[in-house]
Amino acid sequence: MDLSTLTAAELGRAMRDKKTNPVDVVEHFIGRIADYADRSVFITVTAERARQEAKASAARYAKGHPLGPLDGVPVAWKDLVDVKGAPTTCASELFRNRDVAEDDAPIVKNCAAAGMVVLGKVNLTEFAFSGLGLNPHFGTPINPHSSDAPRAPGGSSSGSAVSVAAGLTPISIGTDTGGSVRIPAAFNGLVGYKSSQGHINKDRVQSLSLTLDTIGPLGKSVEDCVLMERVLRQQLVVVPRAAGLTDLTLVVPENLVFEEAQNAVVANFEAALSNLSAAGVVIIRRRLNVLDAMLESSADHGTLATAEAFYALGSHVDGSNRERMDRRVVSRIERGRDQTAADYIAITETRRALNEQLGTEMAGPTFLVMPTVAITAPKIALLDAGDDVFHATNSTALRNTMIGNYFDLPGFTIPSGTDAQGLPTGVLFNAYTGQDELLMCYMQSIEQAVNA
Amino acid sequence: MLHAKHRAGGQRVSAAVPSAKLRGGNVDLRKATAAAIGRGLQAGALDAVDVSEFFLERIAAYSDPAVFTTVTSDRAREEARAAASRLKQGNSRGPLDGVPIAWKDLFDMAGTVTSSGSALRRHRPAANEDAEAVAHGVAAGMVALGKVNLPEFAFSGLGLNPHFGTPINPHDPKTPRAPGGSSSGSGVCVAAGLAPVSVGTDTGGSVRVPACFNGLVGYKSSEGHIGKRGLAALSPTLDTIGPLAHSVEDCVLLERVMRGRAPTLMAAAAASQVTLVVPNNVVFDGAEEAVSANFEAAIERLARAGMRVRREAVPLLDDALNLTEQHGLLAGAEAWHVLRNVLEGPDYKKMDIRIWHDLTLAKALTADDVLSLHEGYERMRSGVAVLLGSDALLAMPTTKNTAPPITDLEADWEEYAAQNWLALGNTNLGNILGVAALTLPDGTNANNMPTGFMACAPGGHDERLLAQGLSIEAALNN
Repeated sequence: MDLSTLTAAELGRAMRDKKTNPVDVVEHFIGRIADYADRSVFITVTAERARQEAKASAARYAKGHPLGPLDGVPVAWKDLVDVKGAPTTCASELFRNRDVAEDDAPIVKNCAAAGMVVLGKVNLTEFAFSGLGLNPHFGTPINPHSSDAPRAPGGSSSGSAVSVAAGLTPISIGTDTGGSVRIPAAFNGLVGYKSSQGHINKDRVQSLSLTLDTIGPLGKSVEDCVLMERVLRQQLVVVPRAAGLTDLTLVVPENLVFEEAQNAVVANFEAALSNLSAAGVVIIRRRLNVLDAMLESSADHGTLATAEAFYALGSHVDGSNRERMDRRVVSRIERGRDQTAADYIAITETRRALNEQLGTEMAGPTFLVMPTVAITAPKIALLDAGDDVFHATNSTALRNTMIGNYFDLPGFTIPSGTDAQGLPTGVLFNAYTGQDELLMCYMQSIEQAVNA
Repeated sequence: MLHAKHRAGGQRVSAAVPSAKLRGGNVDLRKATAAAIGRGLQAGALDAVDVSEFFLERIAAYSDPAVFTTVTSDRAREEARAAASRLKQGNSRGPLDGVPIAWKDLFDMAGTVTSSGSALRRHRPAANEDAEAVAHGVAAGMVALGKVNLPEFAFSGLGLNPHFGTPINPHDPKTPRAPGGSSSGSGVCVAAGLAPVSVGTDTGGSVRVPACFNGLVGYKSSEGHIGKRGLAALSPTLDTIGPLAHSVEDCVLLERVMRGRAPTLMAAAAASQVTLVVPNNVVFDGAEEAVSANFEAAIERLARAGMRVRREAVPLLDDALNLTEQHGLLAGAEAWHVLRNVLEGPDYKKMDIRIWHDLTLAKALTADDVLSLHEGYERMRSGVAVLLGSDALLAMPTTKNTAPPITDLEADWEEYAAQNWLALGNTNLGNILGVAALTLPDGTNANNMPTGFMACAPGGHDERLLAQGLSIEAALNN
């Protein structure tokens, strides 16, 4: 049994069935991390804590009273989330040597309460502000699917995705402000879940955008992400019953989401849709005017993300700190400097109105479906060659996922295949604001149908 | 434009007491509360048609034409007839059935233009339907007399309006004085006995300041407490709705009505259940002597009635001032956004230049300012909830000044700005802190101009504020 290939749920079942135990599991992953050639995946390994938690978990299993299906399962945290005793570096030089966090974030506590084992903290784009996952100071975790040249991991939860894809942890928690869970999940052939705003607690998680930041897991299966959602919210860990697919409608936007899309991305997307269609899903293709209105608002007033990122991080880009930051991140933060109060208010009002409008178009069980990312993981060397290429590619990478943040849609990306180089592609299912539970009910059936 | 001639106010009104056939001989309708008129109607001592005729005739005969922007006589007569017939048949819609009311001209009333006190809006198409609050008033049987004046776009605490005229404060028979704003017409129409009650809006003090300047009770509801559909927005976040009336009881009934609830009264809170937190910082800075003296006398009476008084520094108030100094006002930022097309449009010169200037100050604010304000307001609102808990009220003078002479304000922009800030300074702190608030009259100064006592509860505590307000009112009147 290769523990590295198991899902979190499978690991939990294996421990329950005494095929393995938490102590062996944690040693396996600590060993894998130590042996893994790419040193830029983990920023902090909390080996001592992990061993202690594994031991306690093992005792519970021995007594026959595990805390639930994920007791003893290791988890890695994006290094924006406070874990007691470790510095929250945000993968920034500015915070590399900061004081350690005095307490766990509530979401970390919730996982500990479910028996999960904290393996450590993983890398990200500096301050989580780009979708490609590059980090000149902490190193860029290499996409394990690279065959010809080192490929980008996707970001900003780069370390989360690579750690799961490389079998260094069964599951990892990221954050998503413009696609930061879903893009790296798609680039690494994983399942990623972005929650609705307010669905999962954000205390003691470094903010990029107060309004748009959300928390979500990256895992190997829908089941894992659903279980994690329960644990992160401290809900009873019961997986909802899989819904039948015959009453589900999928709306595929004809505008925006296929622009610049690579052939393999489109081909894999269409293959997934025909599998779903065969399973009885109604598929509607039509123009979504709200997407044009969204773009118009961004062209006129800029984005919520840049305004709020400047608010959260603007103090860092003035003065000497600026030189110690990734210039590409600095340039993105700077975009918020000149946004006016009226811009910000106009953005939020338009967003509210468009969200309402979209709600009327997503009545009943209706999901918006699109390729998660229009491209597969680009070569890192290409991105490092010029900032223009970097920014253009970054915009393309974020374009589809950002729709979900703009409209506050919960979303799941699941793998849809690979391109000729073996690089994964993903398909993204978005439910309406607050319909996380509904989405999760259908996602298990959707996953099965797509993989059929 | 700034030199309109003003006649002195209310007392000069020809004693236009109409010859209405009022059976309730002992009720002076000019001073009667809405509740008292309602009781007269319920008892059959008053007739709804007579009551509405009384007020329509008073409005027509009143010497100051600047109070009402639109008088909806036909509608009032029709509603009064319907109320009279309901009351006769025993189908009353409740304690305010048949009671007249006037609405600030920011509320949509079907068939009338919502002018927002601006010459630029005077000729827009009439509203198709009543605003939500107005419709609730209709459902409770209230009789809409019409719409009352305000400073342009409700953006001033003094109530001047060079285009629609400034309603004169009826408390000074000799010198024309400011009505207070922005619900200037609401304050004056109730004080002058042209309507028993009026509904205004409050974004920085616009219910409480004119209530205070006119010797009335004013209630500013919590954000979101009363629905705003059909209300012309100034600041979608901070705009709130509230009545200006003769009594706290009227405010309670109107609060019920405007929320679409049955207008029933709650019991007054026991005096022992009222704690008054009196800040010793900020709120007395620059206050007129009589304002402070009347406030202290009120506190003394309330303490004697058994209320607890805590005098302490309230650092939140300094925080609010500092935040404003650094980042401006959220209401200003939102108003700039809402009115941007007007403020930067081809006709901006047709605006009251003072209001154009004050609104345009917010143009310089950044997205970063708005986010700082959002976070700061949230922090301070949590702070005020902790400070006041479940039974304490923040108490302070409503305004630091009393109604100033209009000629002084129009002669000198600096004087206008200074008086505007003395009027709005304390009330605006309440808007920043997101409170629900009441102002009650606590006396007059040497010129016989009213002063006010303001009590603020944390946002959402409207119910207990009103219950405590009944108790404060009883103690002050005792």
